[in-house]
Amino acid sequence: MKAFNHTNAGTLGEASAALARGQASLIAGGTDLLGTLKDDILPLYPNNVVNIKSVPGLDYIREEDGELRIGALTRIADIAADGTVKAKYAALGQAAAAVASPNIREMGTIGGNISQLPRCWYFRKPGNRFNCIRKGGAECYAMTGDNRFHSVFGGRRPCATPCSLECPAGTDIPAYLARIRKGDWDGAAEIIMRVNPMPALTSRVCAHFCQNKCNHATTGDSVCISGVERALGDWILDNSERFYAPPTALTGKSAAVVGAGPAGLAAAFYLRRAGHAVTVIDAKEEAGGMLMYAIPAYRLPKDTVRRFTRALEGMGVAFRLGTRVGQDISPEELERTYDSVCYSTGTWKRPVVGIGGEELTVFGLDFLVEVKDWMDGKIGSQVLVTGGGNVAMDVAVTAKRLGAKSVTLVCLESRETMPASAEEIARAEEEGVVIMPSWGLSKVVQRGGAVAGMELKRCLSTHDENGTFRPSYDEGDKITVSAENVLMAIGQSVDLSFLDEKYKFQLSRRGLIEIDDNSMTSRRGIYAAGDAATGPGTVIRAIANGHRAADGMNTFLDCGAPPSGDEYGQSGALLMSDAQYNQAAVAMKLREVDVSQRRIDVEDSFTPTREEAALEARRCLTCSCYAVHPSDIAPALIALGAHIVTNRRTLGAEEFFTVRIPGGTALSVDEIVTEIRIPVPAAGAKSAFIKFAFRKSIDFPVVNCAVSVGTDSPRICLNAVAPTPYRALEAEDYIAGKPIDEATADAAGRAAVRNAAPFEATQYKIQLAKTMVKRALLKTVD
Amino acid sequence: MADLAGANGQREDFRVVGKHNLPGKLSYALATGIAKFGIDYVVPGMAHAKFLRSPYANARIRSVGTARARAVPGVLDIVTWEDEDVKKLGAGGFGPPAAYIDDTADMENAEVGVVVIAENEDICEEALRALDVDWEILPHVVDVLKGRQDAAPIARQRQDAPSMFAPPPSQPKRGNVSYAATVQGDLAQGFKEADHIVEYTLKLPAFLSGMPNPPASVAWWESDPYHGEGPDLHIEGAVQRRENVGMMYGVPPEKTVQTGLFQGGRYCDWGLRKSQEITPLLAKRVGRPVRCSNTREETFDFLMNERYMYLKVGFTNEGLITAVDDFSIADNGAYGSSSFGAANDQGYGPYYTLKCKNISQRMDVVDTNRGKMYLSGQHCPFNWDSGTMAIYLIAEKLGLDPIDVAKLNLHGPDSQDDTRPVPSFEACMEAGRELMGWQWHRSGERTLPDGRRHGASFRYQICPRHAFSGYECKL
Amino acid sequence: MESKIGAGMTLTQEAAQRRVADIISAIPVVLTEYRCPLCARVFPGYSGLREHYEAEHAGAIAPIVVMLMLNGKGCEVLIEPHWTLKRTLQFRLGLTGTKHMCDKGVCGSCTVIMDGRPVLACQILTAECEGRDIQTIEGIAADPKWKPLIDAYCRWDAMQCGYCTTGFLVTAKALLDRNPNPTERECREALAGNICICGTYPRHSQAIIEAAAAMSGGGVDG
Repeated sequence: MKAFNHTNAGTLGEASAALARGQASLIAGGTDLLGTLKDDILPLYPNNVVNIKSVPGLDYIREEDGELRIGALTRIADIAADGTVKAKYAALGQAAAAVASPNIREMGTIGGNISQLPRCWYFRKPGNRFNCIRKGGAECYAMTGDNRFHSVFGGRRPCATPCSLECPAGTDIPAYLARIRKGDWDGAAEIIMRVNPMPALTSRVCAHFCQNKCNHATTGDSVCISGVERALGDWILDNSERFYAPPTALTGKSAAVVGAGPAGLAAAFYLRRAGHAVTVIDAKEEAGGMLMYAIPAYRLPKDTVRRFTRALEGMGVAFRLGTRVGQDISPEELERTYDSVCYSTGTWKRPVVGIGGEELTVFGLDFLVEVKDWMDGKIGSQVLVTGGGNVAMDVAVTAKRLGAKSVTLVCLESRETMPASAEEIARAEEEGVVIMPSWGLSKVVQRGGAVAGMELKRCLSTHDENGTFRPSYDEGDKITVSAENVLMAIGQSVDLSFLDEKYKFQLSRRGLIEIDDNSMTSRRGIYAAGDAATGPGTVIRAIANGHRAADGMNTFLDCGAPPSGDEYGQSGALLMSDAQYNQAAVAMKLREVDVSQRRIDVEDSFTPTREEAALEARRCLTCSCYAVHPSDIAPALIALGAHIVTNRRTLGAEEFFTVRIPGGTALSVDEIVTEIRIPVPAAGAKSAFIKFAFRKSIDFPVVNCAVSVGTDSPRICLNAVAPTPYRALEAEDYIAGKPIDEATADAAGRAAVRNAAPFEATQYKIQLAKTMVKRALLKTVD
Repeated sequence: MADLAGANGQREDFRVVGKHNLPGKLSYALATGIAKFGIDYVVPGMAHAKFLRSPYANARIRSVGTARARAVPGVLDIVTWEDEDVKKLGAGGFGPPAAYIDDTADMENAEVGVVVIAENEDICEEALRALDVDWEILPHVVDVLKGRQDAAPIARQRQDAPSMFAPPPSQPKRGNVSYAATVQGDLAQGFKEADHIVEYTLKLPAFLSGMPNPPASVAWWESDPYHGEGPDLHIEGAVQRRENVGMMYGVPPEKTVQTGLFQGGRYCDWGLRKSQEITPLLAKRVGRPVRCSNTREETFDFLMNERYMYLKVGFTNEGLITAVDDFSIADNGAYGSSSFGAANDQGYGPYYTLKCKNISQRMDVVDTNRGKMYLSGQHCPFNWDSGTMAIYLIAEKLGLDPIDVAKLNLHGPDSQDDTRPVPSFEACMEAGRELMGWQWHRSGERTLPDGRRHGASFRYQICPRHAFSGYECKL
Repeated sequence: MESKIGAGMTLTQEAAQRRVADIISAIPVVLTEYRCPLCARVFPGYSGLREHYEAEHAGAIAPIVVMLMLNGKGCEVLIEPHWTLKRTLQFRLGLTGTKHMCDKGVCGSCTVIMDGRPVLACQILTAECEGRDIQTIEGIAADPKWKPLIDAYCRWDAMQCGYCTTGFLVTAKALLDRNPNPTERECREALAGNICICGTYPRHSQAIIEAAAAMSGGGVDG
């Protein structure tokens, strides 16, 4: 194996410190670690191997204070041979006796056994040949390959999936797709609304960055997440009384939200859900902000927006529309009237670019907002649109549909890096918009005081080596494009003029509202969210920000716990991918109105049916790890209600086992297991362990099971059937209070596998698991 | 029954025969750990060598840069396939003459292109990692059934020599597939005469090499005035192939010195690995003893190839086989694989220990990149697994003891038409049945007290070739 | 370190016992020279080697000296921190009875006894063996007390190719140390981590039980 430094630690502190320095591995028995290093299976190789066996005092088995305490370095063989363990903690003794082979039991320690790496031959192929999901890569090779020894209860994600990570709101996409696969639309709705109260809207307008990162996209089409989301979103609006129910408990606190755009409406939703009295204030006549006024109807029908805002009203959110803060009501008055205020007023101002003749150009956003006026034909025959994002696409397509003879779009970005989503670019080109990427603006060409065209200069790059936005140009490469109208859609600025000078708000250098990590401004109790704080951004990011502001306000109002930090919600959930259908390379395509029939006031595309959406949801790979946890000791510890003591804390056994990259424990880098503690069993309690392996003496189980019965809370824990030890809760519920006999043990076995979702090649494990549960239960009766 | 004791029945004074529990000549050397196998040898000044191995099932080296590898401290030399000394070596193994090592690998982990010599194995591995290899990844075949299809990529360009034991091909080769067929008698008639016809399919998986002792060698050159001109080649680990290795280097047997003789279980796999052949060249190159080993990490050796078998057998109510239609698809492995894994034994005549003369045996032999089978496989076209299955199916169908079915179908001592019993077979079966307490029953009919299903098996070895080869007695 | 065993010579138990005793006693207790693993230069003292590393091989991980207690005798070895005990036994001490088969801890061919426990030398780092009492097959074979076990193995021909045999023998000795009169079942369970491709399994239990009987004063029967 490759070389490493070696340290014989004298104390726990020394070992922990060595681990904390990084690039270090702890060695106990060595029976898992050395194989890992010899085969070089992980992406990183340690620089230092730290021996914990040289730390004295961690090798013991004793009963004290109502507990059995086992030092982490106690050898498995000693545990198997210990009289007390065999007599009173039978599941542990039997499990220890079943571990691997006799000689390995003389070397392996209990601390090491429960910390071992997963059992999967792709994971363990030498040389890190398969840099799989469990190692931080993008694919589970077992799921599409030979998975005969893998999970029968689905996979778990070692970290947020790339799609969720890319979503500014951290939507738990694989989880809601999994619910849809099961036909559980309510469950799917609940998951998505944890972070997004308006999926019907985002599905239509979001640039769906999630899809860019979908692991399918390397070889085929990404999952059409936006399409599935749309079916879900529309269904949520169709059942709005269920999903926008008024809160059951009121807090008695009040909050005002200024600006009824996506950030404000999201904040309003979460504040109302928390039980506050919420009032949304907006200068315009209708709520929705950009959603209502800027995004064209062919992308986002206004009625859909209205359905959402009505649903919010149904929850009890009050709206004061046509009300301008700074004019109709002062910010001070807001502060006095409401317990907390959130400013989410967006970016409606036109930014200054600084090119000659700029005053002759038109702000694209104004164009969109006032498109009705423009429908009278003020649009000329040659239109130039500047900008590369979705707004620019909206401007260009709207102009074309309004009758412009030619619409040309120029942007700084190259084709590949244009921020607009692929569908919007495709739509624009399909309708005849000519796109010219990698051009910057030089100056407006004027003739007689009117726009004649735009001089462009070649943009060589938009960002410098450090990733900062700093376009560089080739001043020698210039062309001129003729145009009668130039519509600038290169960004927006925040307009805070409604706040007079007396109302002091800390602003950032870019003129945005400065906020802290809890979204609070420099004024106590006053929050800000959305574009007003971040600058122009996406709808989904605004929603995420509005949610964060609502959380901050909740905390301020003493009414809620701060967010848990578990951004993707169901991190522990077992998700099963559809192994037959998830290889389909072609995504669902939304049905669309034919190009010749398209208008600006009718939606271009149709929502997929729920059946179509469910089919597409089957393409989700779940990007989870399906390898099993191979320990024999682990299920015994869980069955016996053990705790794991480390040099930092004590955790319950179940909490200890999780799915990480690449490990299977909740230990942090410098955390070391020191002791296992098992409560002395109650009188009448009995436990047992049973293991199925292809050879009695071999290194891993195919299925094993530990049970503890004889109390009113029996425990049944299977292992080698899932990425973490699997407590068969249904079987536990069934057997509680019943005598154990052939019939009840059999029924418990069946209950244990009720939620199984095996691959084709692991079907055989179902029978094994059922039988192991049954036999383990019967073993306690013998 | 024949008189089995014969001449030996009169003898009284046996030193060894009939006496059990006598230690072998080599037993104490083995038990005490004195015995050295090829991989055990350590000689003073010894250097180590490792081959570059292909990460792909089929690939060619477009170019390789060795500068960075040479710069790794402790690297003594790097030899490539373009080296003149390497070119002088022959291919070894089965097949027409080919380069000993070249730029192409036709199985994953095949030795290809480059050998590194260094102070120890760790440095060899580091140097291999430091090679700048530009691989051309070629299409490969690792699924035998897919490789058999017309559209499959060609697994290898190099062709095997025709086997001396196999019958001539029954059709020209097509794509990856070679064809062998041996047909005798009248199949249609035979099936007409059958009271029962059973068909089944069986897939035999590839069987990992059973070599406990990783093939390895250490070689060095040393002059001895008593042995004449030129240095002697000293090699440990070539075992019974000492002379073959000597010949590779033009060294006569009397000047090829090997003191060790322990090999480790090989089970019909005596093919030399490159690790046992290359060391003399490398030792000459660096002027020091050089060791090269081939552990399980390096090559996924397999002993027996994968095979799909389709069998149709007709038999009478008494269990006498009247016709056999045997078709199989065999993995021919990577270039240089022994044809014993494919149609080789068909030349001996299929199933000819049976009375039945209506036999069709056809085989599609598919070139693949799955691996190299070095010498012999125990599942030749005599299909001892296939034949055994047939006996069992007949036994199940008719409720007969499979031993009796085998006895019925075995022809007598003189010819296929001889219907007399074979005395030695009868005697062995009787003794065996008694020793084991043999009581045949249909499958599923009996359970042991602890709940496990009860079964016992009888394996009928149809193949005469494998029936006669034995292992040397060590007494 | 060549073996002079050739075809035709019969090695008796006594000759084998003397040979392994010689092999063990030939191992020096202290190192007298320190060879650089990277460039083969030899230094008379360890500090010289360390200085050489700092000067010529800065950044590489220097070898260390470990004092092992092996077969009842101390011996110093110069190894790199990542060396397994198995590698040290073969390449530093000439003890080749402990075998390289799987190198993964699965086959048991590298079994040695450490502090009374049968353990796998390929899964132990030499750097962690200081102060531990280690016994290899050679130590067992050199000890007249264990002659009956070696004898029983040979008489029962509990070996074919012989490659796994030493591993089984060491495990068997560890078993008899703890359980002087094992049943057949106990023998099989103790040996369950030793793998034999030749299939000699049925013979091991019989050999061990016979040896146990002989060692506890019982008669030797064939």
